[in-house]
Amino acid sequence: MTASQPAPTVLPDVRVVELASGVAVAYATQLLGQLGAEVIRIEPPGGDAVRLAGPFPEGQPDTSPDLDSGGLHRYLNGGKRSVVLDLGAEDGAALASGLIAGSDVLVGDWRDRGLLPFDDQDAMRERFPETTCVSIGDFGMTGPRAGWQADSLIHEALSGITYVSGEPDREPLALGVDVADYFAGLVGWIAALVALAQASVGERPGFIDVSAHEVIGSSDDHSLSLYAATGAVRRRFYSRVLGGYPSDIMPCKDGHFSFVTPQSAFPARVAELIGRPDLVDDPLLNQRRERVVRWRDFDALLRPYLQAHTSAELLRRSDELHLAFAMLPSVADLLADEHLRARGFWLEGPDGEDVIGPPLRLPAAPLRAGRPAPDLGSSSAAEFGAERGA
Amino acid sequence: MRFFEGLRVLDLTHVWIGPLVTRVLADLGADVIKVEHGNHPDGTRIAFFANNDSSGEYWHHSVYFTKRNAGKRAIQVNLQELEGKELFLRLVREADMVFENFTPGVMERLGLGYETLREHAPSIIMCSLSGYGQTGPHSHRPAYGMSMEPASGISTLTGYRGRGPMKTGQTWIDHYGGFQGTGGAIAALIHRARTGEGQHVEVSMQEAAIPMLAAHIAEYQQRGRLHGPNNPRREGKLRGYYECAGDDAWVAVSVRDEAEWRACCHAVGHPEWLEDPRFATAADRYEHHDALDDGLAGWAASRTKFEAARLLQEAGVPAAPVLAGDEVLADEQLEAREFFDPLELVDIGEVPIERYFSPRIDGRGVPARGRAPRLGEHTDEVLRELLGLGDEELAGLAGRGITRGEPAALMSPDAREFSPLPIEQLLEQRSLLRVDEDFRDVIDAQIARLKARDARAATER
Repeated sequence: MTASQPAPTVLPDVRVVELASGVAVAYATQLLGQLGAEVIRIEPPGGDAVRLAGPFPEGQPDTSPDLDSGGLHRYLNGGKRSVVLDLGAEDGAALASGLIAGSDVLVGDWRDRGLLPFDDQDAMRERFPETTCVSIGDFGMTGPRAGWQADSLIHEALSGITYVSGEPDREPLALGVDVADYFAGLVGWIAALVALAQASVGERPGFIDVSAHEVIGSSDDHSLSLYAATGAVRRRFYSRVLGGYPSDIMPCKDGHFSFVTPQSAFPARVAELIGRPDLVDDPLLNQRRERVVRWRDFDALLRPYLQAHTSAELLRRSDELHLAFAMLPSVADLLADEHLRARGFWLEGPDGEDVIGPPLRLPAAPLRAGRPAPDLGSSSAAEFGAERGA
Repeated sequence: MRFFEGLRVLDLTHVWIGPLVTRVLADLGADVIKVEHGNHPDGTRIAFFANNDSSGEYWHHSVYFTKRNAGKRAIQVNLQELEGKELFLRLVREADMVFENFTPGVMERLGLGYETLREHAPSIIMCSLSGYGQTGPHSHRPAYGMSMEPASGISTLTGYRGRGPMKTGQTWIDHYGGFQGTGGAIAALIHRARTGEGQHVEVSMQEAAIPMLAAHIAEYQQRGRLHGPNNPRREGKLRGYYECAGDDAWVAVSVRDEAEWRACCHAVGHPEWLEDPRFATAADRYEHHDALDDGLAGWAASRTKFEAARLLQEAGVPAAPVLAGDEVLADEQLEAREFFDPLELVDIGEVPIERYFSPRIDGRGVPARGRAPRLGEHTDEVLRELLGLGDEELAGLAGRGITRGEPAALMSPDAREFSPLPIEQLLEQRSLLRVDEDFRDVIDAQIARLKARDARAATER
């Protein structure tokens, strides 16, 4: 591969317009961009929620940070172009309309009513027959809750995840990351790809309505299944999966360690791990149900061993015994992780910093991750053929 | 619209991340053929089976398995035997895609690695999903969702303030990695349609999850800051869970900006907060979070979680009841959006099953195409159709155990004795809130509504 011959991509001739409105929309278009699409981000004059989210480098005033320097913006908008348009003004709407008309896919959050003067589904289809519109909203376009406000905390609560997470005698537990935004972004991305795959055989969809609520709401493992099967209502119990113990984060000599059980070979291997081969036939070790009910007894067997070993020692033994245990890396640990390094996951950014690599691998058409993000308004609509009065 | 009609998928996946991808493709019209054998059935065939009753063919009664495998066909092929491998490779020649989520190295040990598949089907798309990816020093480490939430860096940010890290009680990361794989698979199809070229698509659950840490990574790089557990607070926001009237009932509240803050103060009857210098800015409010939590908790205590959430939302404040599983099933927004489909559990009845590809396309949803298949239900049908095998060959393969095997591990007295959940003990330890004796009536009423909905839609079409 020579420099003049860039690697092939999946979507070399695809143009995407993003109506900037938060993380989910930005992640969906980021992934389309990594697959080779040209992504034009239409941003409001003051930047959208992604630009405003920071985190900003030290020393910037809280009230007026440099909107090109936010960490989230630099990741989510890598490789895109930025056009600033005031969609409330006639000119801005006309230029946006021109950009959209020249695009294959438009991604935005239609819940922001009034974002465009033509945000009705039918009107969009009529006005932009060549463009598939993907709306990624909190609750979708319809239903009694279509107008509700939400972020990931709210979606987690409605999905059932929150209720089964945390300690039994405390309040429920939220995730430490905004999982719903990224979930919705992924499915918005898939929806756009379905439309593009379909485009080659005709019948390109006109309007796709993605609801973050539903995307994360489909991620049940046990709670809904359990109720439909038995009528039992699950609640939080140290964030354990139901009917499996241990599947916990447990304390060890120098911190914490993830201890996981589903393998059928678990009992024999754990007996070997803790140096108690005599326990192989003990129901406490080899009967899942017994471990669930008598978990405190099981803990009493296990914890002294864990307390005597560091997480690195435990992981080494776990690997030797082919157990599915894991450490708990911090962000700093992940950046230094030998496995991710060996895989070439971290890429080098423009200032030599580590940049997040592609979230999946397509060797025949590699994803283009790690590209620099555009300064606010660094492109004009005219560059993409959109003109005033179009 | 069945977008991927005519696409043929061989599905060696099991448990969750892989079956999710192939279920989405099945919903979108692909012919997904799940490959198992009695010696190695998908273990989730006995996860959450009907009525907690392990008699009969209870491995066909799992709600969990149904939602992961709806609309697929299932065949038996023993990949441990040379004849089974050869049969599988003949099927690969007739297929567009092969999916697997074994620990890396297993496919090669079976003699069915990508290079081998490609020799038999040059433009095949193979998709491998694993915890840590196909290469690198940790690639051979076995992985489950329960270990990948910690291993991806998310658990060090999750948990109660001043306490250790925690994961969640739902293994959502399998689902997340599965969606990443679904997009990857469709991207590979687009590439093949344009160039004729197949490839080996690879998803590492760890790498797929890292983008969610983008803001944390940036903050560490810019300021050297690492966050720890602080449930559920976030700098710049006012967030909490507040206990409501009822048994273990909570409302989640998240105030993100000044407009929502003003609305919140009025909604919870504390307009004086707007004048209080302790709460003047988002940073001030974060500093005095405890005082605000006390006020919000006092307001919520006399209301149900549904009422509290409704009042806050009506005022423009993001809020929601913290829903348990039965309440998610009964959720009015999900029902209005046709999120559940009635699917059959063989010999049991119907159960409501979530849509895995939930977007509505030009006003129409993408429902599951049918129930989950029984073990080996379509073996003869598929082998006749794809390979043109006749009665004699089929009988021979079955007789030699290549395409037929009883699921001995699921049929054993031990499995039948120990597979049911110990409901009474789980209630006692409070990992269950309650058991509804009349749940079947509740489910049946929901099924009746879903079927009436589908009948109406059919009439309208």
